Amino acid sequence: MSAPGETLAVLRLYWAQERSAFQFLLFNAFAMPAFVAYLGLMLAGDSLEAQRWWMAGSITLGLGMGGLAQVGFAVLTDRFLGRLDLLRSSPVSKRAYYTAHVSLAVIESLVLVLVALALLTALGIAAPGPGGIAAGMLAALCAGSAIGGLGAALAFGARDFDAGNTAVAICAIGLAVASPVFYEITALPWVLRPLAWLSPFTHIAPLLRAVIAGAPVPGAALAATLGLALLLNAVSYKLARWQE
Amino acid sequence: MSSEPPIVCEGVGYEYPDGTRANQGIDLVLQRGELFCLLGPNGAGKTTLIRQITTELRPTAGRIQVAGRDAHADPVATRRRLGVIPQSAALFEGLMVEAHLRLFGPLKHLSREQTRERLAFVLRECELEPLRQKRVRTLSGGQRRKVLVALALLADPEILILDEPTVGLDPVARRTLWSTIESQRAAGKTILLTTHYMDEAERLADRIGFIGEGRLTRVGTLASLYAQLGKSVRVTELDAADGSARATHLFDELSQAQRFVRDQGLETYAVGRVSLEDIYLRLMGRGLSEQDSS
Repeated sequence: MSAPGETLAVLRLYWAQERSAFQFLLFNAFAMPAFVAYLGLMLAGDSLEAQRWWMAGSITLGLGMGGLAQVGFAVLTDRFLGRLDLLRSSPVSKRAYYTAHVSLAVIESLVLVLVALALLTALGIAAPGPGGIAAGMLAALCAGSAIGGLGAALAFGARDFDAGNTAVAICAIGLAVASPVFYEITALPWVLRPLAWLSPFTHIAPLLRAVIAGAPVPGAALAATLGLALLLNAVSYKLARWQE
Repeated sequence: MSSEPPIVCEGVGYEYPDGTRANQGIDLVLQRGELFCLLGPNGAGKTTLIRQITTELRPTAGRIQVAGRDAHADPVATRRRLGVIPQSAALFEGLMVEAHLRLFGPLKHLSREQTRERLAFVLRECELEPLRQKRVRTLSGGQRRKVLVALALLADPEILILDEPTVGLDPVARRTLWSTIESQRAAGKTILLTTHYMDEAERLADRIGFIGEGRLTRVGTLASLYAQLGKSVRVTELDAADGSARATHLFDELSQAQRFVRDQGLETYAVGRVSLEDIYLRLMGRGLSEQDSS
């Protein structure tokens, strides 16, 4: 079987297994940002620029927290509750398994960004245009793979299920609060700024701000998101032990 | 199909980074179509050996061949020849039984047509037809085991590796699984089975291997193991109050056992033929005293 065919087979397995969990996460990914967005709209008043700022932050939050939980929890369940033994002996290759999980995070990001863009365009807040939709998809692709890589790294690096679960939860909430998503990075103490630059949330937010405003995607943010995606996936792929 | 022995282990060992040895110097050749049963206490190294053969764990010493090829040179190709029930494997709880098996078809490199054919076979063989539309999370432990067996059989592998497949099953479910295993042996499969149940090994195994402290200490057919033991009768001293076994003694002949009972003045005891459990306990060095035939 070809490598893409094997990856697709693993993806179908997880899609079928996690459809209910996925719907729940998708709901969370929409519901929480929608709540934050509502508060943001109240605070932003009539300022379109402020509304867009809050909307981009809300989508970043949903995309990041939903993706981290999705990939992190699935890999933790596989590793510590025995599903990985079944898959390894089936046999599924490490590459197909890993790619399928990150692909799920990318799919979730794409769905979230495209639906959010459609809603915001209908409300007159976003003006992405055809080029903006493509830019949004590119941003979602980079963001999803970075977030998926982070979730997988946390899950593959965990000592046990509880430690991994705690790490995923702390990371999701910690990054949402500590990353400059709803504020400028200059608002952070200077000692925290290097750490903030390492958070994917920091670079996803300006990408989405540009997409919502119909402005050119900032190359630096795109490069940083892509770079983090490559780095996080390289680390977590290395951590994923298929053979001892 | 290769003419080489299905599984060959030569001097196989595994040493953890801290120097602890999980197993060492294991030499084992499985013949085509035989059911080989591996017995040993918890922590003896059974699962380590299974994980080495299924390429999950790379031996730190020796080598393993599956169907004539180095098992660890191409792990995915090796696993394609194997149908494995890992000891701690779990199913995908959210899936229906039939969907679970169907979705694993492509993962086992089966075409859509092959998956359909094999799915019908394993559902019938493992008595899963009434459960095909049940969600895995609603199944009992025995029913889940059946699904794991069905998954192991799905790709019609040459070799089956079953790591304690009947643990936790009720007697009826165990016997159902035994029938499935026996029918697979009748179909020419080579089977490596680990178990803690002596009756299971006695009923199913063509050959039995004992593993203790990481070493394969004895291998043979049931008949040859009895012959090596050299005893044929067992007397178990029972506690008069609760009927529990206090000590077991082995004898060459029934007349010696009778003399022992008379000489010791035993009032509550049981006499029987020696069993695989006696051989196991003797090899593991506990719980037996043997009476000289002279």
